[in-house]
Amino acid sequence: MSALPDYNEGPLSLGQLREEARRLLIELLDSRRGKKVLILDPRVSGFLGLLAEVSLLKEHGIEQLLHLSSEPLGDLGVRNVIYLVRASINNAQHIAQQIKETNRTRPGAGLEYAVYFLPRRTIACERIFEEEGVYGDIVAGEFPLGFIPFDYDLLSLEQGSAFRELVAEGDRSSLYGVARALTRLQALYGGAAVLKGKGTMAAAVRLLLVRMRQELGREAPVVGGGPIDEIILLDREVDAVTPMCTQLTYEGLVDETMQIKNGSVSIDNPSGARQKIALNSADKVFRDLRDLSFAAVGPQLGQRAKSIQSDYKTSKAAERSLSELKEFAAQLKALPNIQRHIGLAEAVNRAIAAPAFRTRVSVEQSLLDGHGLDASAESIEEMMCNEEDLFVVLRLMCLLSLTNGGVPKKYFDALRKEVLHSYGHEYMLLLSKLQDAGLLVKQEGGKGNYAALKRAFRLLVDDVDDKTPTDIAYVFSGYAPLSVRMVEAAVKGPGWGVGEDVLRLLPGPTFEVEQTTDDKGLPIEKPVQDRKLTGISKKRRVIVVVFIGGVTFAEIAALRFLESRPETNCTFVTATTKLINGTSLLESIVDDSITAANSVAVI
Amino acid sequence: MRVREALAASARIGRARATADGAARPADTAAAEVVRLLDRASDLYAQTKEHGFQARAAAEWARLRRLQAELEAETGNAAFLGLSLADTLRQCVRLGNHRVAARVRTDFKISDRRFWWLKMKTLAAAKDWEGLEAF
Repeated sequence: MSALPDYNEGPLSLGQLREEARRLLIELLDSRRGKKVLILDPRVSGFLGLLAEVSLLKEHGIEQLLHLSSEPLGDLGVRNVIYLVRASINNAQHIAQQIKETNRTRPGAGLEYAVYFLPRRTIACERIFEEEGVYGDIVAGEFPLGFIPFDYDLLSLEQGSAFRELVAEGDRSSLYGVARALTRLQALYGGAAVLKGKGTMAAAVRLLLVRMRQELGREAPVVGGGPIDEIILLDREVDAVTPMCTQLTYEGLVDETMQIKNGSVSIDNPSGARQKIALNSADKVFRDLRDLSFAAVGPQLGQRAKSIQSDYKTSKAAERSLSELKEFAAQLKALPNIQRHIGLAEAVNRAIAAPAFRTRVSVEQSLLDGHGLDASAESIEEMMCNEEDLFVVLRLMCLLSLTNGGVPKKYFDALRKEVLHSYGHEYMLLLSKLQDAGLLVKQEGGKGNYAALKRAFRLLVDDVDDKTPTDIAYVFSGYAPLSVRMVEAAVKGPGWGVGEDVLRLLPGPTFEVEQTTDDKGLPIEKPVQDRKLTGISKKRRVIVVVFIGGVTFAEIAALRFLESRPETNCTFVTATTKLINGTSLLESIVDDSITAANSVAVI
Repeated sequence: MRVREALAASARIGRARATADGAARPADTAAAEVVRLLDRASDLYAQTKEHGFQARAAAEWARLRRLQAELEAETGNAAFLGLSLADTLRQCVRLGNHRVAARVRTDFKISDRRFWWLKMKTLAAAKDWEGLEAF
């Protein structure tokens, strides 16, 4: 297993959270006696490695790990089978099928099945077990996993379907998971005095949070005294523009070009073998480079390599004290890390050297600038002719729609038709979903709010210095992510730091409340009266920023940059439903009906 | 919502038939069924005001699949059904069937620029230098 970050070095000692998740997992495994097989949903097995190493599973009787399928089970040599899956209808059907088939082909096997749903069991899943006639064979339970720590300042629920469910399907069940995880977080670290939020989903989470606190009554997390001062809830829908843009930080670009999955990335070695590289703060070189603009990464790596080299030379020339040598040895230890990152940066460089990448970034810039609409539409069309990646094309189309209050009529159908012609007609379902989600719609009267937001939040910054940035806009080379600009404004003073008229430009309600207790000691919320809670204070405040629907690495970089500025007297912890980029966000909207339609296409 | 169901049904039936049997007959009927369902979906979309694009797209998809079935029967080459329109054109050019390619181009109203670009790239990719010269 690769090195883990030091979870406890952040403002919240997140190691505690990880310990709790591990304890829950062990309890679950120990609930079945003897040796057992663990069958995992692929969407669970990915992050399970962040919580528990294989040796831990072995210690608790797991003989074998399998991926979920509907094929019957062979002779496993054990009696106990534990399923650990996301609560989805598809998963329940697979499990029912597998159990039925196994019972049919090996009637005397006498296997015992336990199914644990993540994060909670649902009636729909249990109905499927009933209908398929396997309900009696199963012990069903829950694995109430909350936030998974990805780094000392980063938490994710890894619920990849949350955005699609919330925005395209009107299914809000994932919000319960968000609220429960936040309640658990506050139970561990103390309640936040202030709760701020923007957006429909944020408002729904706020209601759930109040209800959960009231249900707990006097047991509710005590407000004040704990490290968390404030929680800011933001809907991804409030800022859908940012994920559509290409992230230009080191970590962001690695994610854009090679996809970071569960905190690591796989690249091809020069020798041809796949190499898995863990990307977290345990790697001190990566820690220093991850949030820099990619343009600054190459020179930085070169400098480090050179300084070690020159140190090496001088060490030969002069006698050194023991402590100096020790220091030098420590530096040498970083050398493999530096080499690894030179390899990774080269791989990124190769990917972004393609002319298509330059076109993509320049179309983005002109759409964000707000001019060259016709030229942009034409470039997008040309990219489709050249068979560029469908999701890159869709990101640009969504960006065009979002920055212009919809796609102008003359391009709307033409561009969509081109998608169908170039990539296949089955994507008409995806186009409909994008329309339902409000990401790709027709312009109807007016150019939308983007221009006004751009002015109000100063989203575009000229003359960004990539190497020594002074503004968060460096993460997109001149565009400041709206989400982080909102946080920047909100932490400066009371309220949101911008006028009502500006907040009205964004979708959904805005709120700012104080979590407190009434005179009987029962939890209530009330409007913020004590301005000391949100105003500028001497104390460095700890703020948990929750992105409902996903967050990009570039936004996390911007938040880290913000906290490094002397004028921001805050430390941030980022929490989200899923670590995303525009491509993975749009891919999550491709639903089963398209996969099904794709399978028709091949007959 | 009935529209979605029709499309999903087309997918379901298609998949069921495809896995059922590798023989030529059932696959043929399954393909015909998909076309019928796509036409039906198009009709259903056309009943609402907002789904003009989807109605046209479903009808066009049905038309494409009919053409692909025809091409497979004509060439005896099962290399068309399920391709996108652009890939169908590429396949025609690759197989040297320029007459059909020209027909697809007019049938589906493909712009000149788009068509020539696609044809040129396909010929170049196939290293068909004679074809390129005759361009």
